[in-house]
Amino acid sequence: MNRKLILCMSMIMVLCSGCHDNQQNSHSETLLNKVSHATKSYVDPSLTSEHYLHGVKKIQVEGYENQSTFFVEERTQKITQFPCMRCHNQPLKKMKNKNSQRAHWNMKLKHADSSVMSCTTCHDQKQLDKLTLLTGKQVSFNHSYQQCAQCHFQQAKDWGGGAHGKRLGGWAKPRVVMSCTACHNPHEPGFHKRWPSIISKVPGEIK
Amino acid sequence: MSVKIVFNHVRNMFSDKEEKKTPTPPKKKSCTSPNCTCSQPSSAFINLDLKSMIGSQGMKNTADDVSTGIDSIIDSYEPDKAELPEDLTTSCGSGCGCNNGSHQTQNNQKTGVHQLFDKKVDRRQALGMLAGTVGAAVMTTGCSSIVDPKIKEKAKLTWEEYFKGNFRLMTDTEKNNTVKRLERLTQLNHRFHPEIKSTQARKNVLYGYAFNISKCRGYMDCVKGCVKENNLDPETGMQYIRIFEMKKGKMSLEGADGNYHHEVPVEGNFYMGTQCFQCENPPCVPVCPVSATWKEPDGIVVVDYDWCIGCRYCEAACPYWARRFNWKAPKVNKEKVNKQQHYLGNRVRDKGVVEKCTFCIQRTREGKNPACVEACPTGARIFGNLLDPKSEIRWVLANKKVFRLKEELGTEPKFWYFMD
Repeated sequence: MNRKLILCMSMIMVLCSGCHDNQQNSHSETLLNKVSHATKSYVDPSLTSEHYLHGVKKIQVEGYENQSTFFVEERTQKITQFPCMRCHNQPLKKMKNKNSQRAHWNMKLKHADSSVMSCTTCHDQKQLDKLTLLTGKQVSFNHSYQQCAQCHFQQAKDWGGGAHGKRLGGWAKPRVVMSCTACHNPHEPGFHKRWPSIISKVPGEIK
Repeated sequence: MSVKIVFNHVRNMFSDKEEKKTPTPPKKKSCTSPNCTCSQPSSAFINLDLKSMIGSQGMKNTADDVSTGIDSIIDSYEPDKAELPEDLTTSCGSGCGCNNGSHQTQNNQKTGVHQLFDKKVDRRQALGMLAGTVGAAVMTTGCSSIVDPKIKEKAKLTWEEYFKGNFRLMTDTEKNNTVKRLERLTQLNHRFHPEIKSTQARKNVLYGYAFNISKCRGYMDCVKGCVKENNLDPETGMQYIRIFEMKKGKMSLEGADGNYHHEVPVEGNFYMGTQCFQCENPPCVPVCPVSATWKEPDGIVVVDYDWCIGCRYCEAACPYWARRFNWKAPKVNKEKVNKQQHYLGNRVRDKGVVEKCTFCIQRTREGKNPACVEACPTGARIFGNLLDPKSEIRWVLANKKVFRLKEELGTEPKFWYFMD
């Protein structure tokens, strides 16, 4: 009788341990511990996302030397009437008269207060192919993020690390990110209200 | 192996029975003219079997379903004029000029399935016959020279698919074979040729996800991208991602609106997206009675759609409501379908199986970002390799104040929320 009981009990033990033991083992190490352990022996998986960039010309980001290199998309190729000096071949003051054709009439500046910012806060008055920093240093349109970073330093820090902005291609190397002006119109950087692009049909309340 | 033995046994059993008990009807029904190649009654029999065996039953149901399928065949099959086209019963239709008498179906005599089943047999014999008929249907479709070769091919592939193993236990050759079969079956069933991958998890990769709740504006572009990428049926409205509109000042999903329908963002609200969090201790995995769902070495929790029995235990076990059940076969639009597929990802699913977000396994295993990350217009979604100390996701974990949903459950989601 006792033998049967022991046999029965051991059977139950074996059956239960099939699932329950495994669960306990997996709980013993937290995810972050596992990650930090695995990081020590990390070898690059040698995967590239280069071919998902679809020929985007990438330019190395400057000013983030203390971290791994990353890239932005080239901007000057995408500006429709670049270089600006094709029209702006004389000083702005000379061009600003009633007889000449008015350009950029559709530009409205909705960026900060008018006492803080004007066109020339960013655009170099003498060399219109370039942008200007607060110190007067000229910056190419490809590196316009440097200009944004003057005020938006927290966002710039997040962008450099990867918490702000959007990545092109894939998660694998190389890291190519969208520049500030790829998402934010510099003259009107806010996002607009709009309708959602799809309607949710699933029950909305969590059980 | 045991299945093959049983199958062979059934086949042998049937071939014996066929020789013994049904030698006359095919001879009586077939055309006697030497030039005539017609054989309508048998083709009608085969088509009928095929429709019910392959079409509606799909041949991947349980044994019970197959037997009910057989019952329905028996019920619906009437080899008289009502079932067969008129010209078939009166003349052979091939212009051979043969005597009609030889073509006429003899109603008095039982034919086909009826002949096999309308007998008083004991339980053991009946079961044997039933199994024999199943084998017969398959063997007929595989061996007959009358049936459309495409139907034959479909039947053969479906049959082979039915007896494949769990994806985790397959060898590389078996994986390649099943992928080829599935590609061909999709071509035959849905008329488009997908490229189904079976890419393995890479070493030194563990996927992680971060969601910026101060950036999300509820535009739902991610949901749209997900639906397109994963071939979700717009008719059923299945969506892996849900975006909750939440009142500021409260961090609880209770009272959050997941069905908002107005312009976004709304003042005083913030938006929080949920999907499958690919937990490190996924509660949905141990509850599966057939091991059809598991966690891959790169951290993605996947479902083998061909192994899932649709019990929905996993759906009940998930505390994040991340799993979805196919109440009907998802509609596939061959023009809009994403042909880049993965065995464990966005390939064509069947009715009655569970599916879920796989971090777009078909993309991420190739180094691409998931469709939701790519579609997000605000950059609220960050994806990367948790093991890479230089990855963006690791930067977020190290530099931002992050939290996870229902962290106290110990599920260890690999999906973090953070704020600017």
